[in-house]
Amino acid sequence: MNDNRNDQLDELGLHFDNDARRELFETSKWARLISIFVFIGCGLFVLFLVLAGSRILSFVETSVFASLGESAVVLIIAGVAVLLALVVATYYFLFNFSRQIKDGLIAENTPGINAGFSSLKIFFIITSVISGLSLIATIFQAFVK
Amino acid sequence: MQNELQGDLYEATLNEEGQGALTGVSQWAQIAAMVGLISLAINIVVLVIDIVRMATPGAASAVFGTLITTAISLLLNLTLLAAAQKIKSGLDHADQEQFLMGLGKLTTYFKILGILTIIAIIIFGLAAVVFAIFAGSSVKFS
Repeated sequence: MNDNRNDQLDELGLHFDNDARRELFETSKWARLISIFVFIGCGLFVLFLVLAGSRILSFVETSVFASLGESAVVLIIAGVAVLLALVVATYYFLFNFSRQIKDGLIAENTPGINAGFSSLKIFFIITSVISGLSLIATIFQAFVK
Repeated sequence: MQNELQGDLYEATLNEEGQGALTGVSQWAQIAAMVGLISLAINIVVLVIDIVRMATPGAASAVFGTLITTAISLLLNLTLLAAAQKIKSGLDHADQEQFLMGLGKLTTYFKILGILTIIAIIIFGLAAVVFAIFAGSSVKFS
Protein backbone atom coordinates (compact mmCIF):
# COMPACT_ATOMS: atom_id res chain seq x y z
CA MET A 1 0.00 0.00 0.00
CA ASN A 2 2.75 2.37 1.07
CA ASP A 3 4.89 1.37 -1.93
CA ASN A 4 1.93 2.09 -4.18
CA ARG A 5 1.60 5.58 -2.69
CA ASN A 6 5.31 6.24 -3.13
CA ASP A 7 5.04 5.07 -6.76
CA GLN A 8 2.27 7.59 -7.32
CA LEU A 9 4.42 10.34 -5.82
CA ASP A 10 7.38 9.41 -7.98
CA GLU A 11 5.13 9.35 -11.02
CA LEU A 12 3.56 12.75 -10.38
CA GLY A 13 6.53 14.37 -8.69
CA LEU A 14 4.19 16.36 -6.46
CA HIS A 15 3.36 15.92 -2.80
CA PHE A 16 1.62 17.71 0.02
CA ASP A 17 4.68 18.75 1.98
CA ASN A 18 4.42 20.93 5.08
CA ASP A 19 4.41 24.16 3.03
CA ALA A 20 1.60 22.90 0.80
CA ARG A 21 -0.34 21.75 3.86
CA ARG A 22 0.13 25.12 5.53
CA GLU A 23 -1.11 26.96 2.43
CA LEU A 24 -4.10 24.64 2.13
CA PHE A 25 -4.95 25.08 5.82
CA GLU A 26 -4.74 28.86 5.42
CA THR A 27 -6.90 28.73 2.28
CA SER A 28 -9.50 26.56 3.99
CA LYS A 29 -9.55 28.93 7.00
CA TRP A 30 -10.30 31.94 4.80
CA ALA A 31 -12.75 29.99 2.62
CA ARG A 32 -14.66 28.99 5.77
CA LEU A 33 -14.69 32.58 7.02
CA ILE A 34 -15.95 33.88 3.66
CA SER A 35 -18.71 31.28 3.37
CA ILE A 36 -19.89 31.81 6.97
CA PHE A 37 -19.94 35.60 6.46
CA VAL A 38 -21.92 35.16 3.24
CA PHE A 39 -24.42 32.89 5.04
CA ILE A 40 -24.73 35.49 7.83
CA GLY A 41 -25.14 38.24 5.19
CA CYS A 42 -27.92 36.28 3.49
CA GLY A 43 -29.61 35.72 6.84
CA LEU A 44 -29.38 39.43 7.70
CA PHE A 45 -30.74 40.29 4.25
CA VAL A 46 -33.77 38.02 4.77
CA LEU A 47 -34.29 39.56 8.24
CA PHE A 48 -34.06 43.02 6.71
CA LEU A 49 -36.63 42.07 4.04
CA VAL A 50 -39.01 40.72 6.69
CA LEU A 51 -38.63 43.78 8.94
CA ALA A 52 -38.84 46.33 6.13
CA GLY A 53 -41.40 44.35 4.11
CA SER A 54 -44.21 46.91 4.30
CA ARG A 55 -41.91 49.80 3.34
CA ILE A 56 -40.50 47.88 0.39
CA LEU A 57 -43.99 46.86 -0.78
CA SER A 58 -45.22 50.46 -0.62
CA PHE A 59 -42.15 51.49 -2.61
CA VAL A 60 -42.90 48.83 -5.25
CA GLU A 61 -46.51 50.03 -5.49
CA THR A 62 -45.39 53.59 -6.26
CA SER A 63 -42.46 52.69 -8.50
CA VAL A 64 -42.22 51.81 -12.18
CA PHE A 65 -43.26 48.26 -11.26
CA ALA A 66 -46.72 49.52 -10.21
CA SER A 67 -48.10 49.06 -13.73
CA LEU A 68 -47.42 45.33 -13.47
CA GLY A 69 -49.74 45.08 -10.45
CA GLU A 70 -49.51 42.22 -7.96
CA SER A 71 -47.49 40.13 -10.36
CA ALA A 72 -44.60 42.60 -9.89
CA VAL A 73 -44.45 41.81 -6.17
CA VAL A 74 -44.53 38.06 -6.83
CA LEU A 75 -41.88 38.47 -9.53
CA ILE A 76 -39.58 40.49 -7.26
CA ILE A 77 -39.99 38.06 -4.33
CA ALA A 78 -39.30 35.08 -6.63
CA GLY A 79 -36.27 36.83 -8.12
CA VAL A 80 -34.81 37.64 -4.71
CA ALA A 81 -35.48 34.08 -3.48
CA VAL A 82 -33.76 32.54 -6.52
CA LEU A 83 -30.80 34.91 -6.13
CA LEU A 84 -30.43 34.10 -2.43
CA ALA A 85 -30.71 30.36 -3.10
CA LEU A 86 -28.02 30.65 -5.80
CA VAL A 87 -25.67 32.55 -3.48
CA VAL A 88 -26.20 30.08 -0.61
CA ALA A 89 -25.69 27.08 -2.95
CA THR A 90 -22.50 28.60 -4.39
CA TYR A 91 -20.96 29.33 -1.00
CA TYR A 92 -22.08 25.96 0.33
CA PHE A 93 -19.53 24.45 -2.06
CA LEU A 94 -16.84 26.81 -0.75
CA PHE A 95 -17.78 25.83 2.81
CA ASN A 96 -17.62 22.15 1.78
CA PHE A 97 -14.17 22.70 0.26
CA SER A 98 -12.96 24.26 3.49
CA ARG A 99 -14.37 21.47 5.69
CA GLN A 100 -13.21 18.61 3.48
CA ILE A 101 -9.68 19.97 3.00
CA LYS A 102 -9.24 20.65 6.72
CA ASP A 103 -10.63 17.24 7.76
CA GLY A 104 -8.69 15.50 4.96
CA LEU A 105 -5.37 17.04 5.99
CA ILE A 106 -5.90 16.31 9.68
CA ALA A 107 -7.03 12.72 9.06
CA GLU A 108 -4.43 12.18 6.28
CA ASN A 109 -7.39 11.25 4.09
CA THR A 110 -6.57 11.57 0.38
CA PRO A 111 -10.15 10.96 -0.91
CA GLY A 112 -11.33 13.69 1.48
CA ILE A 113 -8.80 16.15 0.08
CA ASN A 114 -9.82 15.19 -3.47
CA ALA A 115 -13.48 15.77 -2.58
CA GLY A 116 -12.47 19.19 -1.26
CA PHE A 117 -10.82 20.09 -4.56
CA SER A 118 -13.92 18.89 -6.42
CA SER A 119 -16.08 21.21 -4.27
CA LEU A 120 -13.72 24.10 -5.06
CA LYS A 121 -13.99 23.24 -8.77
CA ILE A 122 -17.81 23.40 -8.57
CA PHE A 123 -17.54 26.75 -6.73
CA PHE A 124 -15.40 28.15 -9.56
CA ILE A 125 -17.73 26.67 -12.22
CA ILE A 126 -20.76 28.42 -10.67
CA THR A 127 -18.90 31.73 -10.21
CA SER A 128 -17.63 31.52 -13.82
CA VAL A 129 -21.15 30.97 -15.15
CA ILE A 130 -22.52 33.86 -13.04
CA SER A 131 -19.65 36.12 -14.16
CA GLY A 132 -20.30 35.09 -17.77
CA LEU A 133 -23.99 35.93 -17.50
CA SER A 134 -23.12 39.24 -15.85
CA LEU A 135 -20.70 39.95 -18.71
CA ILE A 136 -23.41 39.21 -21.31
CA ALA A 137 -25.81 41.52 -19.42
CA THR A 138 -23.18 44.30 -19.39
CA ILE A 139 -22.56 43.93 -23.15
CA PHE A 140 -26.33 43.87 -23.81
CA GLN A 141 -26.82 47.01 -21.72
CA ALA A 142 -24.01 48.78 -23.55
CA PHE A 143 -25.63 48.00 -26.92
CA VAL A 144 -29.13 48.99 -25.75
CA LYS A 145 -27.80 52.40 -24.68
CA MET B 1 -2.71 23.30 14.77
CA GLN B 2 1.02 23.32 14.14
CA ASN B 3 1.23 19.68 15.20
CA GLU B 4 -1.60 18.84 12.81
CA LEU B 5 0.54 20.19 9.98
CA GLN B 6 3.62 18.17 10.90
CA GLY B 7 2.27 14.84 9.68
CA ASP B 8 3.95 12.24 7.54
CA LEU B 9 4.38 13.62 4.02
CA TYR B 10 3.45 10.33 2.43
CA GLU B 11 0.10 9.90 4.20
CA ALA B 12 -1.87 12.50 2.22
CA THR B 13 -0.71 12.01 -1.34
CA LEU B 14 -1.68 13.77 -4.54
CA ASN B 15 -2.96 10.83 -6.57
CA GLU B 16 -4.38 10.88 -10.08
CA GLU B 17 -7.89 11.69 -8.85
CA GLY B 18 -6.55 14.63 -6.86
CA GLN B 19 -4.50 15.78 -9.83
CA GLY B 20 -7.63 15.64 -12.01
CA ALA B 21 -9.63 17.65 -9.48
CA LEU B 22 -6.85 20.23 -9.13
CA THR B 23 -6.57 20.51 -12.93
CA GLY B 24 -10.31 21.23 -12.99
CA VAL B 25 -9.88 23.84 -10.24
CA SER B 26 -7.08 25.57 -12.15
CA GLN B 27 -9.01 25.50 -15.47
CA TRP B 28 -12.21 26.93 -14.00
CA ALA B 29 -10.34 29.45 -11.85
CA GLN B 30 -8.59 30.61 -15.03
CA ILE B 31 -11.95 30.94 -16.83
CA ALA B 32 -13.43 32.87 -13.86
CA ALA B 33 -10.45 35.23 -13.80
CA MET B 34 -10.50 35.78 -17.58
CA VAL B 35 -14.25 36.50 -17.57
CA GLY B 36 -13.71 38.89 -14.65
CA LEU B 37 -10.94 40.74 -16.51
CA ILE B 38 -12.97 40.98 -19.75
CA SER B 39 -15.97 42.22 -17.76
CA LEU B 40 -13.75 44.80 -16.07
CA ALA B 41 -12.42 46.05 -19.43
CA ILE B 42 -15.95 46.37 -20.85
CA ASN B 43 -17.16 48.23 -17.74
CA ILE B 44 -14.30 50.71 -18.10
CA VAL B 45 -15.09 51.26 -21.80
CA VAL B 46 -18.79 51.77 -21.00
CA LEU B 47 -17.92 54.26 -18.26
CA VAL B 48 -15.56 56.23 -20.52
CA ILE B 49 -18.25 56.40 -23.23
CA ASP B 50 -20.81 57.56 -20.64
CA ILE B 51 -18.50 60.28 -19.37
CA VAL B 52 -17.63 61.52 -22.87
CA ARG B 53 -21.32 61.52 -23.89
CA MET B 54 -22.78 63.19 -20.83
CA ALA B 55 -20.00 65.00 -18.93
CA THR B 56 -22.40 65.24 -16.00
CA PRO B 57 -21.41 66.86 -12.66
CA GLY B 58 -21.53 63.44 -10.98
CA ALA B 59 -18.99 62.01 -13.42
CA ALA B 60 -16.04 62.67 -11.07
CA SER B 61 -17.54 60.56 -8.28
CA ALA B 62 -18.43 57.83 -10.79
CA VAL B 63 -14.83 57.81 -12.03
CA PHE B 64 -13.50 57.63 -8.46
CA GLY B 65 -15.85 54.75 -7.61
CA THR B 66 -14.95 52.91 -10.78
CA LEU B 67 -11.22 53.39 -10.18
CA ILE B 68 -11.46 51.78 -6.74
CA THR B 69 -13.65 48.95 -8.05
CA THR B 70 -11.27 48.47 -10.99
CA ALA B 71 -8.20 48.33 -8.75
CA ILE B 72 -9.79 45.76 -6.41
CA SER B 73 -11.21 43.68 -9.25
CA LEU B 74 -7.91 43.78 -11.13
CA LEU B 75 -5.98 42.67 -8.04
CA LEU B 76 -8.43 39.83 -7.35
CA ASN B 77 -8.62 38.52 -10.91
CA LEU B 78 -4.87 38.78 -11.55
CA THR B 79 -4.16 36.92 -8.30
CA LEU B 80 -6.65 34.20 -9.27
CA LEU B 81 -5.19 33.99 -12.77
CA ALA B 82 -1.65 33.68 -11.38
CA ALA B 83 -2.82 30.98 -8.93
CA ALA B 84 -4.53 29.01 -11.70
CA GLN B 85 -1.56 29.26 -14.07
CA LYS B 86 1.01 28.29 -11.44
CA ILE B 87 -1.03 25.33 -10.18
CA LYS B 88 -1.55 24.17 -13.78
CA SER B 89 2.15 24.60 -14.57
CA GLY B 90 3.07 22.74 -11.38
CA LEU B 91 0.78 19.86 -12.30
CA ASP B 92 1.84 19.74 -15.96
CA HIS B 93 5.58 19.75 -15.27
CA ALA B 94 5.48 18.04 -11.87
CA ASP B 95 7.12 21.17 -10.49
CA GLN B 96 6.69 21.31 -6.72
CA GLU B 97 7.88 24.94 -6.50
CA GLN B 98 5.32 26.21 -9.05
CA PHE B 99 2.63 24.12 -7.36
CA LEU B 100 3.45 25.69 -3.98
CA MET B 101 3.48 29.19 -5.47
CA GLY B 102 0.07 28.49 -6.99
CA LEU B 103 -1.34 27.37 -3.65
CA GLY B 104 0.17 30.49 -2.07
CA LYS B 105 -1.54 32.71 -4.65
CA LEU B 106 -4.82 30.88 -4.05
CA THR B 107 -4.45 31.64 -0.33
CA THR B 108 -3.79 35.32 -1.14
CA TYR B 109 -6.89 35.37 -3.37
CA PHE B 110 -9.10 34.02 -0.59
CA LYS B 111 -7.51 36.41 1.94
CA ILE B 112 -8.37 39.43 -0.26
CA LEU B 113 -11.86 38.02 -0.88
CA GLY B 114 -12.30 37.45 2.86
CA ILE B 115 -11.30 41.00 3.77
CA LEU B 116 -13.64 42.37 1.06
CA THR B 117 -16.48 40.18 2.36
CA ILE B 118 -15.97 41.50 5.90
CA ILE B 119 -15.99 45.10 4.61
CA ALA B 120 -19.14 44.40 2.54
CA ILE B 121 -20.94 42.87 5.53
CA ILE B 122 -20.03 45.89 7.70
CA ILE B 123 -21.25 48.34 5.02
CA PHE B 124 -24.46 46.32 4.55
CA GLY B 125 -25.03 46.23 8.32
CA LEU B 126 -24.49 49.99 8.62
CA ALA B 127 -26.82 50.65 5.65
CA ALA B 128 -29.50 48.46 7.25
CA VAL B 129 -29.15 50.35 10.56
CA VAL B 130 -29.35 53.74 8.79
CA PHE B 131 -32.40 52.54 6.82
CA ALA B 132 -34.04 51.29 10.01
CA ILE B 133 -33.43 54.61 11.79
CA PHE B 134 -34.82 56.70 8.91
CA ALA B 135 -37.74 54.36 8.24
CA GLY B 136 -38.49 54.04 11.95
CA SER B 137 -38.66 57.80 12.37
CA SER B 138 -41.51 58.05 9.84
CA VAL B 139 -43.35 54.71 9.90
CA LYS B 140 -43.06 51.75 12.25
CA PHE B 141 -42.06 48.49 10.65
CA SER B 142 -44.84 45.96 10.18
